[in-house]
Amino acid sequence: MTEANVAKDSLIVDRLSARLGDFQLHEISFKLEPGQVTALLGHNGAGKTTTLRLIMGIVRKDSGLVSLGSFDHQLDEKEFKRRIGFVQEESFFYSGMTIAELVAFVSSFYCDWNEDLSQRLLQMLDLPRDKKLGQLSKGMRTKVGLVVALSHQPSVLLLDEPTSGLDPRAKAEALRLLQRVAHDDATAVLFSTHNLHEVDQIADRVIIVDRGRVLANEGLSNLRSQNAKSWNLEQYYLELVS
Amino acid sequence: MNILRLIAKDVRLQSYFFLPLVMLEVAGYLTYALQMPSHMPGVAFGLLHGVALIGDFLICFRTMIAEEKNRALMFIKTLPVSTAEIVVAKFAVNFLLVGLNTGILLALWGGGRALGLIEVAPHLTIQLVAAGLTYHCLSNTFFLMISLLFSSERAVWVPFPALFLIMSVIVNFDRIEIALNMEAFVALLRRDNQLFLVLLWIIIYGSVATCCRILQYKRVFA
Repeated sequence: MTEANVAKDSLIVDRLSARLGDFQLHEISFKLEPGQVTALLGHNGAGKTTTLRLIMGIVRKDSGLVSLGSFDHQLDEKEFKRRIGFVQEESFFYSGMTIAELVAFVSSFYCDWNEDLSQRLLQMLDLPRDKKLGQLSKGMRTKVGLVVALSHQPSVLLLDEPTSGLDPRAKAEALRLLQRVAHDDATAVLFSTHNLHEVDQIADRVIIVDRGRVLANEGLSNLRSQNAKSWNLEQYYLELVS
Repeated sequence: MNILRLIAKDVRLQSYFFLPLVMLEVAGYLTYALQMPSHMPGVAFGLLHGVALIGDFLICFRTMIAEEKNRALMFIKTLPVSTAEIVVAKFAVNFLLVGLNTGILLALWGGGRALGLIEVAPHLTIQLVAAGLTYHCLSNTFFLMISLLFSSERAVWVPFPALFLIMSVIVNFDRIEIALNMEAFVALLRRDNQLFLVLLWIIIYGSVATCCRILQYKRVFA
């Protein structure tokens, strides 16, 4: 996907806590390694979106640390975000802008924006440059989100339920793209989902969250090799959250 | 640079809304003027600013509240932009549009007066234009501060108590002036209108700085 793979840093989340109304996120810790696809798995309201928003600084934490290399997510906010690509779950904004205008707007914030890559992604994902965002389906909007999140070649890609609302073909395309970004470009990918099949399909690692706590943080190949042949993710997940 | 990029984006997005807004304001003013010509001598200039005040609110709504609701602000927050840059850009684009809106209305007013269409108004002086612009930037600052510091669901409840508070301060201003021992200062402001305008701009600047500071600590940004 990219011309040159430079050494990328790990994202470290250390004892991250926050209270939002009745919901409490309890000292969540994990590490995202370059080249790995990690799934943040949990049912609705488990704390997946809050975790991603805390990392991005959209929600303010009570305590804990989030860092990427030497950059702290609050102290070095701009440098941190320059190295992160984020795709939010639903976006209805800038409906009057065309795809090309949005890409041009976002690109102006990144000194390392790869215009060639951006054009290739638009072509690969079948996105018409002159179409207005307001005329796009949810799936197409997610694809646009992927283009703007990937075109600055981030060290870490965070995605909040990227496949929700996508048709099967678009879903398969998106998942393949995530896998390629991680494995070919050494990008650390974290995507939240409640779809076990997707986790099984592309994730190298799974973090299971429930009621604001991390219940498991395991490599999927480890889990498969350590357990019996009859082991499956669904059973494992249900045992943990029940 | 980030601030300029954000301003340019908002100007481009709001350009479709701005012309209909001005046309609506002018139409609203003319409708009232044609229906009640006998009232106009007393209320003409106040009505013009009243109409522009609706513009101040709508500009804030379009640039801020609508962006919060459709999650555009959240998207901006994921870009390498600081919170202070987002806030300063929002105020800047609001002042730009409010200034343009007020300027167009005042220009139409001045033009109408020059052509003899409006005979009831004070002459437009630089000081009057500056006071008008300051007043509208101040009211827009008030709306924008509320929308930045509160979520839109809660924000709708803020202007009413705030309005009651402001009205109480105006009604009781003489007493407050004495209680705070500010008679000399207030007398100075009454004598020197320019100093009064400078004071209002200091309040506007302080509001922008306060918003930047508070939003660093706000639990959920957008």
